[in-house]
This record gives sequence, structure tokens and C-alpha cells, in this order.
Amino acid sequence: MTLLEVENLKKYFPVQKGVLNRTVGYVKAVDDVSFSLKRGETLGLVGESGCGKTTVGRCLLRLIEPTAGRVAFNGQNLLELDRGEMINIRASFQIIFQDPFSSLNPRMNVGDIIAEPIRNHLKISRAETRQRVAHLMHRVGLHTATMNRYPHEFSGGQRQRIGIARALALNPKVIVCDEPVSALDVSIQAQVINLLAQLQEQLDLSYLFIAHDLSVVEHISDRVAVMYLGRIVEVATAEALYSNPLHPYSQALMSAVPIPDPDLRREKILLPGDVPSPFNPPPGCNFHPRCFARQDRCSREIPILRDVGDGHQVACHL
Amino acid sequence: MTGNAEPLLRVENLYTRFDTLDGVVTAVDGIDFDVHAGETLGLVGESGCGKSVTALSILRLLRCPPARIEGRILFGGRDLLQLDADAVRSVRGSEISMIFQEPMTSLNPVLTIGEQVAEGVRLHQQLSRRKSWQRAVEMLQKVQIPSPEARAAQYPHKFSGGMRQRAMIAMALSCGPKLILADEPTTALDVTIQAQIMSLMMQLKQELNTAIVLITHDLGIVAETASRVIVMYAGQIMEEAPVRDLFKDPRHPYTRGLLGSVPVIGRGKRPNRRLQEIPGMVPSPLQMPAGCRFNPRCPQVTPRCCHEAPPIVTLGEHRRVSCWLEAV
Repeated sequence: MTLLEVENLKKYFPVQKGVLNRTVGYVKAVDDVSFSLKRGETLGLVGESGCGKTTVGRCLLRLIEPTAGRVAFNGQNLLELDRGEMINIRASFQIIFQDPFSSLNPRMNVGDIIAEPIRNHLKISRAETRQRVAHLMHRVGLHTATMNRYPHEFSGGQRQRIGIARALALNPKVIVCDEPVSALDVSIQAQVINLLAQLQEQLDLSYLFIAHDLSVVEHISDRVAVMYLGRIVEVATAEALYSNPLHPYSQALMSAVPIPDPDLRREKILLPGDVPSPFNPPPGCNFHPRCFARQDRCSREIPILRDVGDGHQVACHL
Repeated sequence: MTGNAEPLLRVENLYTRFDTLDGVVTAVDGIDFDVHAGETLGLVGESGCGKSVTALSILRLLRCPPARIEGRILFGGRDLLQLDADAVRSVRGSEISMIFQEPMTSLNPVLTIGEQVAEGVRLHQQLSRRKSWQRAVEMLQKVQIPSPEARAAQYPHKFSGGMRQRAMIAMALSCGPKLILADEPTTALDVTIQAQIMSLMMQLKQELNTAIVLITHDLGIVAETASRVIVMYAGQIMEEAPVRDLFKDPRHPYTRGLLGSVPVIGRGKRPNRRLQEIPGMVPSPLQMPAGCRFNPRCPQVTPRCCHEAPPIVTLGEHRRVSCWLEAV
């Protein structure tokens, strides 16, 4: 069952210059992105810095107002809701941020941080709230005795658990996980990934898992969408994307991931140059200046995301 | 492999302590290792394990006090810890150089890239400004920066992250050092750029026969580039082994834990999605556990581990591990 349907989502940031702040152009951070998320599914969203993956996550929750598009959640278009309705919807639609150091208010104790969404959305007594907070803390593996402590007293992994408990407070259906483990050390990263997987099973959650670490994304996701310069270039199941990446960018990205096995000697596809500026993206397929398989038409026509069977979608002329 | 030749760098019994308001923090706690000419030694561990402090201690880049460095660091027949400030400066950058993690903060924003690359050459090889500038342009070309003449005259903010790291590599290689300490050289970069930079570093290393100490937390990078690996935890060396042995037959429970906790791409569909985790977290440097430092998190802990520090057990010619399980 499709829970979330995103169609033609766009976010253009205006670039203003001069004394009159005239708009001289737009940065197309997210340009015509469509995807869907089923109930209980994890969709990975990968790409390099600046490709727009975080902006997509924030647009879904309208933390950033999208320029155009449609975000249907249970059949309801979120982009048409007024402020009050949107706030109500956010109870079932939560986000976990990347940096557990800056996303928790340093002046609030952990109990209050986790209780805040409950107090805002539900009319329940103090005692009940407290009980619920204790239950949430237990669920994410925090000692309830630490309820009165402040964020600085916790390690990075524990802070991320606090962020997860806060996101779970209102029994959401969808959680946008924006680089939830990239600030953590590997041993702690494994703990948090396992926790997220376990919560998903217990609570029937759907995740949009945004990350740049392909190994993590492949591990946790059912399907993966690869982004480059504001567009989705490929969507496939995690297995298909690894064993048979179709887009040249996905191929290069997959080959560039270092694998902890000294016996494995793979040919790496080295892409020339850097990601171009999103203010002035190349015409046609925006990957063509770095592509090893480009043809003439790639610099003229924008390829459309099309299905090549079994739900494997790719945006490439080849 | 390593051979029996005299090592290029020998670190003996290195202790680096910091005096803080809360007490003495021992960031590096009695480590020994060798680096041989032309090899790539991987130094891995999680944040706070002392890997960066080790590199900074070797080049004496730590302010003393609050830092106190003890032990011996033998390089070219001298103990770097006994040299005076001028003598250390003549080693830094010319014989041993360093590549830092963050190319944004380790370049000077008010000097052009060319000036920064040329500075080392000018000071160490006593070249004129003009000659050293030419050398800088050559180096930028060597690290494959397009139109190096024009780029040399630009400031760091005009460079992308990958280009800045290339400039850092040019700077590190400009005097033809025998050893490069690369501290997380690609951590701040995207994977495709990381692949470019690692391939460039390895290619130049071959060409110039420079030894590299590669400090990283990424086991994938170590597997792909290093010939030998040292695993550090809480300021101590847990295990040292040739790269293949370490990955195929890890002997220390911490090494096994680390290898188990990273997801590996392409390992197939996981019916059992769990990663192996290392419970708990790295101990505070102010309250190190007694005995083996890993004992509170170790799945194979024995009563002895909790009060007696394990010996360093040598396994064959090139391996050692600091664990009671291996001590017979």
C-alpha cells in the first residue's frame, strides 16, 4: 500500500543580487523529483553533497516550502494544507536530523525534549506524559534515570537515540531520517542502524533514509533512489542497484565505495572533475560533462525517468 | 612486505599526555611501531583513540604544555623529540609532511594557493621566489589541477573540496618527503571525489617512493590501499597485522567487532538485517577501565581482563595483538 506519493516536486531557491535584491536566477535544488513510499518500507535516498537530498526531505514536511509539486500522504496533498492542518499531520510524519549536537535544545532536559511533541499535540496529564516518555526512552535503549539530564551529558550515539525517541513520541507512520548515522563512529553507527531496523519491525514504520554512505543505505533500504544535481537518476531495489546499476553515475558511485576486503580488486570508475554548480547546471542531462558514455543527444535533451522492468527506473538516454 | 631493512621511522614507547583542568588525559599510551620506506601503513580506530595525536606527536605539532610527549621517535638516526625547534622545522614539510583532514581550515584563506605550495620549497630548498613559484605550478600540474598557472594565483575559496585536497597533496609532496602522515585525507569528501584523490595519492606515492601513514576510520580505504594495519583503541595498539591477515583472520575482539559493525555493500539480501554491534561506548580518557581497556565492551571478557593489562603477543613475524585470549 502506497503511503506517500511524491510527484514532480520542485524547489528553486532564488539568487538575489544588487541593492534592489533583484532575482538573477534560481538554484534548482530539487528539480522534478517523483517517488513513492510504501507502508513499512525503507526508501534510501543517496547522492553526494549538494545533490538536493536533504532539501527533498525537508520539503516533504514543509520545513522548506516547495516551489511546486504534489506530496500525497494517505491520499491528501500536504502542499494544499493550511498551517494548522499541517501541524496536525506532522504527528504522523516525523524527522530525525543528522547532527545530534545541534538538533537538541541544550537548555531542555531529555524528559522535556521527548515530551514536547506530546504536550503540543495530545491533551494528556503530566503523569501520563511522564510515563510515556519513560516508555519511549526504554524503547530506544536509554536509561529512564537519565530523564532529568541535559543533552551535553550524553554521547553522540545516545543523543541520536534521544532524537529517535522524540520522533517516535506521537506514533508516526513515516520518519524522514536525514543522515542519522553519519556523525557517529562505526561501532555506534551499527547500534543506531540496528535500533532503527528493530523499531521499524515493531512499529510498522516507513522510512525515507537520506544518506551519502552507500553501504549503510544498501544495508537498511528496500529500494534506493540515486540523486544527482537535483534530479533522481535511478530508482531500484537495493540488490538490483548494487548488482546491476544502469545509470553511468550510479555505476561510478557504486564502484567508488571502498569495500573492506583486501582480496577484492575492482576496477574503479573515476569520474573526471567536480559536481557542477546547481546555479548553472549543464544543459540536457546534467551528468553529461562527467559521463563516460555520453552521446550527442545527452547535451541537448533531458532524459526522463522511465521504467525498465520490475520497478527499476532510470533517467538515461542509453 | 616489510623486509629486514632499517625502518624509516621508529616510534618507541610514545606517551602523549595533556594536562587539563579535570586531570591528566593520556591520549597516546605507550605505543611502539615502525614505518618502512615506501610502505603504506594504515592506522585505524574510532574518534578519540589517539590516532591523530600520534601523528601530531611525531611532527611535534602539539603545543607543549598542555601536551607532554615522552618516548622516542627515531627518524634518519635522530630522535625527533630531542631536536630543538629549528631542527624540527627543517624536518617538517621537507622530510616528513602532513596532509590534514579538512582542506578548508588547513589552507590559509588570505594567501594564494601558489604562495602556499611555494612556501615550503622556498624555505627548505632555498629557492628564489620565482623558482619556487615555478615549482609550485609544476606540483599543481602533477596533482592534475587543470590550468595550473591560473589556478596557482587563486585563493582557496575558489577551489572545490577535492581541488583543495589536491593542493594540500601538492604542498605535502613539494619537497619530496620520505614520509607523509595523511590524517583522514578524504573524510570530508564525497565518494567519487574520494576515489579520485586516493587513486592520485597512491599513484604519486609509487612514483616518488614515499611512505604513507594513512590515518582513517574507514576500513574500506585501509583494505584497498594499506599493506600493513595498526588498530588503535583508547590510546593503545590493539592489533597490528599485514592487511590481508587482519581482514581475513582478525585476532583481537575489538578488530572483529569493528569489522562486523560496518555494513558492506553487495553482501546480498539480509534475511537477518542486524549488524554486529559493539555494546557500550569508548571510555572517557579520564576514567580508563582497569586491565584491558576494551574489557567493558568485549564479548569474550575473562576475569583476568578486568584487572591485569594484557601482554603484547607476537604472532609470527609481522603480527602482534594485545589480548589475553592470545596469550598462552
